[in-house]
Amino acid sequence: MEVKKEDVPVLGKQYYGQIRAEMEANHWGRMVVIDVTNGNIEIDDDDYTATRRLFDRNPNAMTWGERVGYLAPYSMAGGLIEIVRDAPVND
Amino acid sequence: MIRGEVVVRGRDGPLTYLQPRIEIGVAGSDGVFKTLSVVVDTGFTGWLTLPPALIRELGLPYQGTRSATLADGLSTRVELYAARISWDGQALPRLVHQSDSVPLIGMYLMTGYHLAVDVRAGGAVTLSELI
Repeated sequence: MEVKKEDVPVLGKQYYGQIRAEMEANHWGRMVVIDVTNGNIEIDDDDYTATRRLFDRNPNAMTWGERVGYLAPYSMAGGLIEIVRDAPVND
Repeated sequence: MIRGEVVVRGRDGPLTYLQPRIEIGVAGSDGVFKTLSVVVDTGFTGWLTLPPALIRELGLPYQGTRSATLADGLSTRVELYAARISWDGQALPRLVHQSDSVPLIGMYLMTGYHLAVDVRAGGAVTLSELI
């Protein structure tokens, strides 16, 4: 599927929303990286490793990544913000 | 061991501030490493940030987009690019965050190293591998 760079976050959040409950039950704290051009998923402790595996499967991958259970996988401000377990899913 | 220096930035007198800097290399799409002066940022959890113009100049390939938490607790979207980073004599394939700031190195890149900074003008910055 042809994807524009600016659409990667929207598509990524849609894909992640479909698997979020399962990820939070089984993979808290790990990276889930999604190739938004085809829905491929890789899970690893490390974003680089998961992303590399998606590019091995599809050289034209465009990826969105989530740190399961956290608001964002990276911080420019010292630390990651963990969400409350079993909180309602809003997005 | 990686050696750098604390440099003075800003205008004269009380308006100056200090930056701990080191030099690293980043390989362009032609395989040639470009030497960059980067600021050591222990508040950044990733590997390296580079400004958009430099990412274009180096021809780094787009990998994806992620969220990153800012100091106000809100998140922003950050584009990720693949690059080989010359670090303590090794060429490491890693992810680079696109950011308009001065290039920063973060805690993922420094993992496994001892960081020491003499926080004064001209002070020594050293990063040595932990045994």
